[in-house]
Amino acid sequence: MTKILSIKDLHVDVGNTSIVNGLNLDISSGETHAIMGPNGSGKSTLAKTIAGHPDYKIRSGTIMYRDHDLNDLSIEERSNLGVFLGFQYPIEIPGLSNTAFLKAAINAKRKYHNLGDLSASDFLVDLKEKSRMMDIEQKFLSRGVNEGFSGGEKKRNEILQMLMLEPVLSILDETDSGLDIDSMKVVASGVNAFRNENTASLIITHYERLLNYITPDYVHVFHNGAIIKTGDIQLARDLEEKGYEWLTNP
Amino acid sequence: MANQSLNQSDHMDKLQSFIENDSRNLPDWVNQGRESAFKNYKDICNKQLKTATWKNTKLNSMLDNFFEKEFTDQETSLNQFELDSTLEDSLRIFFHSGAFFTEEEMPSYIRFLKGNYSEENQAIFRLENSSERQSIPYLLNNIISRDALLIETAENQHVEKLIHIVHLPHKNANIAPRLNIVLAKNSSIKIIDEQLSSGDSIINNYIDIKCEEHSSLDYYKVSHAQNDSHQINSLNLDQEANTNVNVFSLDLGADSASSLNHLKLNGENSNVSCSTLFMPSIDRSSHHNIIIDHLSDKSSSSVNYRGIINDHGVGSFFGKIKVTKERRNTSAFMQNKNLLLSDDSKISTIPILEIYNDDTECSHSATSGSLDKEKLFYLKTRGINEYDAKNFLIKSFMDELVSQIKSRRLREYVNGLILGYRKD
Ligand SMILES: Nc1ncnc2c1ncn2[C@@H]1O[C@H](COP(=O)(O)OP(=O)(O)OP(=O)(O)O)[C@@H](O)[C@H]1O
Ligand SMILES: [Mg+2]
Repeated sequence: MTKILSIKDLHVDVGNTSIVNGLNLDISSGETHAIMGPNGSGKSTLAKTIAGHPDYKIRSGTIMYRDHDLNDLSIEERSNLGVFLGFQYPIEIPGLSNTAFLKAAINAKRKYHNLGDLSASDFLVDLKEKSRMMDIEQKFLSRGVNEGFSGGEKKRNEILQMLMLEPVLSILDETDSGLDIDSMKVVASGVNAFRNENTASLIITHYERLLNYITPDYVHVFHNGAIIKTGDIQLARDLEEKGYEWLTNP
Repeated sequence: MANQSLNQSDHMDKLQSFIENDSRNLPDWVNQGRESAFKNYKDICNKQLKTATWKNTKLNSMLDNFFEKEFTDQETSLNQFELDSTLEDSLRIFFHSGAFFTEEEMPSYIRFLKGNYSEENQAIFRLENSSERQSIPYLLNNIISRDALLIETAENQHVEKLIHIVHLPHKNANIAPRLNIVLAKNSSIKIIDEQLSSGDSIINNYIDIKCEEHSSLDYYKVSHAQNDSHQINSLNLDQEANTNVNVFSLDLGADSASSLNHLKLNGENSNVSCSTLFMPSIDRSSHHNIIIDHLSDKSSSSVNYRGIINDHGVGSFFGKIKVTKERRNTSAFMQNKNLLLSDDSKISTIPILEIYNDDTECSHSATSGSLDKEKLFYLKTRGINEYDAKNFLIKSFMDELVSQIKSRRLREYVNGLILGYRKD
């Protein structure tokens, strides 16, 4: 088991506002962590900070990803080294087909690792298999990225991108929000297919539901930009029942 | 933008002596055409230079330098040019040094002078003196040009092959290409009119299009970046009943580049769509002016201009659609969207609908902004670098227009030019 992500006393600002306040978190290979917490507590801020969003400034503390201080790496380098962020609100890019986008992303990563382009046929075989798994019809792939996709389709498309890019650390920001039961199962099967002893997941969610399909090793409660309690799946069930009140206002 | 005033009397004197001394042995009807154009030019020049269209487009400085360029007259051989082969199986006509030429047999619906100024060739010029044509570029074109290209279909003729007019590069030249397109009843044709990169030149293109009933035309204008040059593309279009015209332009800018389109929907059920992508970079400019007159019932127009302005580039859009009170059942749509890629890029946009009835379905909009930061972030989180991510977003921004180009090869060619220009 090796350490994949190690966050120490992290403080993150947006403009003049401090959003993440003294966060500590360690994730090792093979582990799945869930983060739950009220709206506006800073969960997406944490996710985007790890991915390198320029609006989120690390005031103090460190984020180590394997041997790298993430602050030294560009957004695309982080991705090429295996960090994946599934967006809470996936972005639409009309006129850039999903297929062209995925191919560009995969080949960018291969280039970073001094590999040649993936052959068109290998790419298509892989894409076909994984899109079938994510229940995404072929005709969707020739459309613009997320263009005209329903909420649920966009989320399944995020998981498809994750499967195609084969990251090491996958951060999924509310991928389960807005999904019907069937989509939820599809997304869970995608995440479970990704899990192995070399990868790690950080799953941000509001609901225990998803966690029944993807059993996390740890459940953290996020509040005011820091983790205030850590437990296992039972903690998620308690939160489902009692809300956050009993933890934030004991 | 310095607006030095033109030394008018000096300019007029030089034009006069150009007409008198043009040694190229022109017949009377050409000289008469020149003289009458010159007379009108003297009347309108001063007044037109004061209008907004001219004030912002460095036209004064173009007129100042007008006689520093050569009115070239040498024979041209194709060997000296590197030509892209993408569209090779089209019918190609070349323009250089003031004249059109070709390397293949031309069908009867395509005519140019080949040095033959016979009376019957007068028709190729289509010199007209109507008041609406009294514009500086039109009159100057009449004074300077000594060849014209006429593409005139026959009734019921549907030309399958793409016609490709290639304007070869010039250096230090003053040229005035003149293109006349006449579509007879129930005929159709597709034309691409491509201006390759010139340097230190003045290029004054005049395109006149007339569409008789039930005809349809796709006209593509591609202007590569022109260096230290002035370029004007004027387009005058008349559409009769039941006609469909698609105009698509790509303009990569020049020291000053202007397009002036005047489109007239004269007959019922005439439809025009005019789409333009303009992309001035470095310190080039690209100005666009379009007027559409709905002169009949059940006519429709769709105007869609997109600008991508980079570096110290300057762009502008002025669009006006006019529908008078008596018109019934018309529709007019006008949109201009601009993307500014640098803090030094400039754009101005004025879309106007002049509609004096409530039986017109219409909309217009104009937006300008920079690249969407969240889209860039999304692409980068998938490992795509800044340069490629920006290219994807530029392509995405243009795609709505480019995707309307029906020919796949032309679409790919245009996409290549759009993405290639950033490597400048
Ligand atoms: N770019 C930004 N500019 C200004 N404020 C921001 C920005 N991003 C986040 N914030 C603020 O930071 C706080 C945390 O936002 P964040 O999106 O991280 O919350 P969250 O925990 O993901 O909430 P939710 O459960 O609703 O998704 C909020 O008060 C939000 O308004
Ligand atoms: Mg959030």
